[in-house]
Amino acid sequence: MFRGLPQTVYELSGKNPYLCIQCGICSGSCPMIKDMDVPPHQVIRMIQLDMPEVLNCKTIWVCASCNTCSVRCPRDIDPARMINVLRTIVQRKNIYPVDLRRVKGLGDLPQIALISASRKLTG
Amino acid sequence: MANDVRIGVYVCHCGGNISNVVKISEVLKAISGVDGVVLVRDNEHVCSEAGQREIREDIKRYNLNRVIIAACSPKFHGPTFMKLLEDSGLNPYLFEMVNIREQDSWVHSNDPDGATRRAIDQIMAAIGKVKLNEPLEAREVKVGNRVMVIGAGIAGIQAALDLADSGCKVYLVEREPTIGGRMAQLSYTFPTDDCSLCILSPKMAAVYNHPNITLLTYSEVEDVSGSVGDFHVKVKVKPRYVDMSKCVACGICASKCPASAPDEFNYGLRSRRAIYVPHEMAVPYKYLIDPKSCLYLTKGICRVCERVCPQKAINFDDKERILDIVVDAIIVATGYEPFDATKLKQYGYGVYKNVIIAPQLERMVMPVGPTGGKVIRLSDGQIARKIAFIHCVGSRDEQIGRPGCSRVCCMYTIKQAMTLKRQDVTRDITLFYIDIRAYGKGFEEYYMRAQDLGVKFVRGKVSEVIEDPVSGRLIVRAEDTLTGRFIEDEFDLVVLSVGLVPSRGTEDLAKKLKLNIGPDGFLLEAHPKYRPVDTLREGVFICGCAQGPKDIADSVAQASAAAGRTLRLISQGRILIEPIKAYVIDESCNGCGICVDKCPLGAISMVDGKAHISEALCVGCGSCIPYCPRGAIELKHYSEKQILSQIEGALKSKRDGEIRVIAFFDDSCTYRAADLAGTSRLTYDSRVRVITVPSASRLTPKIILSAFKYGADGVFIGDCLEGASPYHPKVLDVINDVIREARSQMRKYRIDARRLKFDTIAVDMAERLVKDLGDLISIVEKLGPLSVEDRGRIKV
Amino acid sequence: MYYPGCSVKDYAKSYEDSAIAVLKLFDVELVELDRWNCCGVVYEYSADAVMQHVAPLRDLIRAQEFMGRVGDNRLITLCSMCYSTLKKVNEIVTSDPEKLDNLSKYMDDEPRYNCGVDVKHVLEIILDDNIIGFKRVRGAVKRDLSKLKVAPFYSCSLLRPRGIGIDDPEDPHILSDLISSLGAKPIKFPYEKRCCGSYNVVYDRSMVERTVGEIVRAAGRWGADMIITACPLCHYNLNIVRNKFNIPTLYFTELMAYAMGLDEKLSQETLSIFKSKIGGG
Repeated sequence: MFRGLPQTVYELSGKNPYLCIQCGICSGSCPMIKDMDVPPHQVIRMIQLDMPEVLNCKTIWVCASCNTCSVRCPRDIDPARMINVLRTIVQRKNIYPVDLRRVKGLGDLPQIALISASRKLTG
Repeated sequence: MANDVRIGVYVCHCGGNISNVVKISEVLKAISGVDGVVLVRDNEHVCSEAGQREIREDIKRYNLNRVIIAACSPKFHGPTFMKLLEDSGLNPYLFEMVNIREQDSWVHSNDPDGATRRAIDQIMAAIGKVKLNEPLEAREVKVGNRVMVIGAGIAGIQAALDLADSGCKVYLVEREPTIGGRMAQLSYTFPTDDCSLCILSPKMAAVYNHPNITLLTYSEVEDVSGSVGDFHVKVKVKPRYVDMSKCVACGICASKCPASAPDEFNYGLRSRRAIYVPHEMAVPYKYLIDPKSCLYLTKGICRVCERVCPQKAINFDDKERILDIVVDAIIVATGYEPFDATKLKQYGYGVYKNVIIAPQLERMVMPVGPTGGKVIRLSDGQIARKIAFIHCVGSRDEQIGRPGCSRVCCMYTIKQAMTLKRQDVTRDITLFYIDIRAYGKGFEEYYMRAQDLGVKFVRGKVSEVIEDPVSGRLIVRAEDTLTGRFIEDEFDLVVLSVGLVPSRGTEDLAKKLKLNIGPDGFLLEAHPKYRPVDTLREGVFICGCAQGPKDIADSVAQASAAAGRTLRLISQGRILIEPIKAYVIDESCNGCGICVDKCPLGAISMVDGKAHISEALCVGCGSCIPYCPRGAIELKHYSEKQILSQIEGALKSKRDGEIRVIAFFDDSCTYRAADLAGTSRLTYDSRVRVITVPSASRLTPKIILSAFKYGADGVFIGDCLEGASPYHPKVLDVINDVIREARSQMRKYRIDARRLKFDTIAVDMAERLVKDLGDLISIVEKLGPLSVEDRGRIKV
Repeated sequence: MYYPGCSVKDYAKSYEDSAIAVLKLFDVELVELDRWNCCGVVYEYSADAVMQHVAPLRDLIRAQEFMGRVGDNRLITLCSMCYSTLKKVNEIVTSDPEKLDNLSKYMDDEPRYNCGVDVKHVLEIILDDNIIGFKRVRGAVKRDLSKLKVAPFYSCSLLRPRGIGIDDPEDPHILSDLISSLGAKPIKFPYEKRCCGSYNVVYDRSMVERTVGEIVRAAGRWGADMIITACPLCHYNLNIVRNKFNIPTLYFTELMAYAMGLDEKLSQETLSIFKSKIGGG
């Protein structure tokens, strides 16, 4: 139906990024917003505008998949899902932002932290 | 029947428009001598005065009892000729008009032989049908000028006044103890900033004093039966426990009443006594007792009001009364209510005292309101200095199933912001919005004035409101999408711009009146563009917010429109009920009841174990027909036999090896598109034979397969776009069911399913229709004509 | 049937210990699956994800095999993240047989999953009146916790997304109700449904310190003595700032155990936390 990044995101997430009306409630709800370089609503906008540089932003790794945006999105496009899909697209290119071997103090962390981190941040 | 049918066939040259392509002499030759045809004539202009006179004389001289006219589109002169028959003493339904201009000569100009054969076949089809046509009478129903208006908000009031001023007898039924609806609860109205009650009160007084209006307040519609011209409505008048004829509204009772309840008129911002008058400008201005909070009516004690009332107006023996009212037409104006913001817990309404909804702010702003006109924090009574407004609460939100926009909130929020600014220009006011919808006359200018006054606008939907437990201030979180900055700001007061939802009880009332409801819960109009205040039920109209959110100006416009439509309906003193309706063949009906739910208008019910179709409610679409397992439902003038005879007639001349496509067009959309193809001089293959039906939902798998059996190699079905059918919005569902079943049967008989094609066509989609027909012909050519064995396999 | 998951066997052992002990009081036995693997957290959103769903699906099959021995098709988890992942995958394969087919292809050594397992979080068991219910909880309380002010902290996985979460994402109340039924004072506060920052703690601790700092500070501002949670990762993250605000975070089952006098199941540290928060300070 579309071309380029919007089409890929549409296929992988099952939601149409063009339905986003940029209301900003996802960004307004995001607990990690202060650590993001591009607010979630702008990430979706960049998908709409087929801007591949969105794959380089810090936001998609900071997102904790807490789904607060998804339960509030008035167009029900599940922004968390879309951001995760962008993450998957990057991971499938074998690009990971974190090398877990370099992280200090791994032994003190709960297992769940390690596992979820390795799943989300690496391939 | 063949013996006593005497058909006269008239073929028009149309001044060369037809005769330049279609060989008239061949047509005349082919038709003469057909069984039942007594007379065949041609004429340059059948519609001319001379042409019409000739027909009139022929009918008398030759004792004709059926007439066929092969000429232009029946959409053009159909009514003319029907009237001609009537004037000549013949029933106008003993007539068929064959379109050999727009749908023959004008579209097959490159194929005169084909055009001629098509003309002959279409006339043969008409001959087959007209033999089976029966005289039908439009039933005349006397209508008077009694109208019931349900709901006495501004829309109901306006409709009632328009009707009453025109001489109608109006029953205005209002559920609340006072009329005026939501408009009475508003402060000022945009974009003029009129005081709402000031412009409403004169109309309320006019209603109260109008000799033609019977005002029934504190009353509800219990039951509705009957049909246009004869609606029987049961109205329940609730007991006030105060004799209205004695009460002078002195108020002594209320001053002594010990019981209280939240004041609904002020959205709970203050309380009222159990005996009360709804508000200072109530009409009728009489007291009443609330049975839920009155100590006597709930616990059997007190009765102080009775003792102190100087007029002895209190009557605890008051009972509800049921009135039986007969009216000719009904207008529904039941309005809206504000969205219940407690459903959106993240905004804290109902939990945090200083989060209020916009309707409450309307009341606060009024000098006679619950806070004396002061906009205060409800927690500590301090004047609010820094206020946030949150747009789209309960609208444009898929999460709560309300995706629609409520239309007026942007404007009322701007209005409220300006009101607060004018009270104190140092106030800090911010509106958090998604879009600003200022679409109407003077609206954009109003928005500019607000900006000019210093009202701040932040484009970002608020994610949540938190009340700090220590400071008591409200924290609002939103993203300013235009700068990408996250905002976390403290406010004294947060106002939620709640959307409009249908009034409580709309669904129940719709069931009682057998009206359709849209996906948003509002009453559904007959057609959104050209019948915005009609419903699919004849004699019932809707207006105001009952039909959808809108402002006062639009409500008033719709109210007058509904009154106008009502007057149009009843102005002749009689209305004609079209005779083309579905009916049940009792002997074939086995009482299974499947059809009852299939009629979207609720026209079918079970009576004495058999299905019965109400003539008043039936619109003649035939959607019920395909679902009857016994084939026990028929459609007048378009019976199965009539359609099959048309198919037969159209295919009779087919020779071996030739290809034919039978095309079923719905009468409203596809047929008109086909006419448009003609006026646009598009061309398509002449091997198409058209049969018209009111709605394609009347077709059955049997009819479709019969077409193949009788000689068709392809079948096309065309009907209106989704939701556009003038009959009802769900015809497509029926047609899809029929086509699915037909295709399944075709597969069973090893007939390629691609030979059946269906498309939705709007009146202006002539090119699309021509392409569809062309595509089908190509498929049929590629697959080849069906063989005798193929047709032999089909069992109908 | 009981699915433990990775953390409760090590970091969050106290969660498991207290949970099993508390449930035993009500005659509910958690029978651990004899074989289980990592639940495969976190759920992968991509429509074509295959490998990421294999691990949780294997667990469901393990549960399917174990069902007969226990006579019950409910798979209980303690860790909210495990709950969320297993439940989501369960829904996906149940509603989309094609997807199940596809995944099964990658596990031809496994029996086919026939969608008979019901994934539940332990809280659902506790609040279900047919199994335990808050009334029975109230009845089992031995200590007076009326002076204890406890803030509930749900985790994202318990509340979201809609349909998977076990409570209203905007206004949850299960933990508040639980706290009330234990006799303590629930401190409902708007940050109870916030995200703690999750796995970001692995590579940027300061980021998580900030997010949980907001949450725990708010808990204090709203008057809480302590926070209870149902997720090991939230537990870890929230406790990063416990000393800064003097508000420790415990598992809700530890609170239950303390209320019901099961001191032997709690660590010394935990017991001293309670003692210091109630009665005098």
